[in-house]
Amino acid sequence: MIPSMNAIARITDPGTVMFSKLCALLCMLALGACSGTGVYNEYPFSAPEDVLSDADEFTTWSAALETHRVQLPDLYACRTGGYDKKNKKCRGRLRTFNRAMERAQALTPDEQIELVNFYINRGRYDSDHRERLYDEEGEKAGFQRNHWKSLFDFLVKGGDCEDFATSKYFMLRELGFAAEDLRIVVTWEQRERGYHAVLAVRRPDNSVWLLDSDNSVKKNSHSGYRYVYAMNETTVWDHRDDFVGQAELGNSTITGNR
Amino acid sequence: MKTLSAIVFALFASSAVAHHEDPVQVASLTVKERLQSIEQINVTAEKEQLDIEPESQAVADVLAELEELEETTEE
Repeated sequence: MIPSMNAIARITDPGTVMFSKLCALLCMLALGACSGTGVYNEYPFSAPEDVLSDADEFTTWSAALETHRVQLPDLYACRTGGYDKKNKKCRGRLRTFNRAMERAQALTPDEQIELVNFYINRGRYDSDHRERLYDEEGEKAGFQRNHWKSLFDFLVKGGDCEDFATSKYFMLRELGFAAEDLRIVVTWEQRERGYHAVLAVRRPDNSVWLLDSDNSVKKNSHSGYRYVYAMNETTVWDHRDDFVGQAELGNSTITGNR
Repeated sequence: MKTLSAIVFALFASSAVAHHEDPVQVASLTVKERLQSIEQINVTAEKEQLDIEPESQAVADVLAELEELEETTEE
């Protein structure tokens, strides 16, 4: 259909042109806003510049790793003993843990991840803002800010978000997932205005899944996460902006700041 | 004047040697400091759980079995 002369005149009218440009600008701004409400930043598994130290140097986490190792026989003791109310081998969620591990053998790796996420998230939430420390004589000896729980202790006593993340880590390790594909990641949660822990799982296609305590498994969108630090049983990573990693230092003068 | 110059020279020389040795010590201190600052981070932000179901029916079946077992355990 050929536009009329009047229609052409309206289209080319300076006012119309200006209005059209304004609409186009607003559309571009809207599209820019819709492309991501936060920063899309997949967890950087391959970031050697963020390596801070061996896990051994992170003393509280290292202690939890050792506790987990020592408690492994207790974790599975419920499997061999029968259950009754007095059987301490099966207290807390130890009985369901053993059943979960049995059933998980028949699941695919993706399903195992999903099972672990849901199962651990059903654990009892128990905040440990600060843990009172006592010396050998039972006298008060200050506070420990964070206390990393072993899987056994979490199943028996519950825990808070970092314990949810560490328990998922331990449980997936028990299911055969490699340590190098798992990281407990501490993030800054803008909405909650606090530090939060999730478990990052690297998949065979190199995608990264984040297992969160809200039951979600974020596979494609990691929008809004600000990564602070991470660890597994071998290494600690520092993702803060002001950190200069060992990989970048070489023989250069060390400043500790970017 | 010569004595003063020698003293100043000696001070600069020792400072240069110390500065050359500093990077290793500073590196250790930096890692320790970073770890200490990490230890102070209080990880407690709690998220409300979403009312969602597992994607896999097999997983849902296992979770249902575990829930039933947990109820039996609590009795």
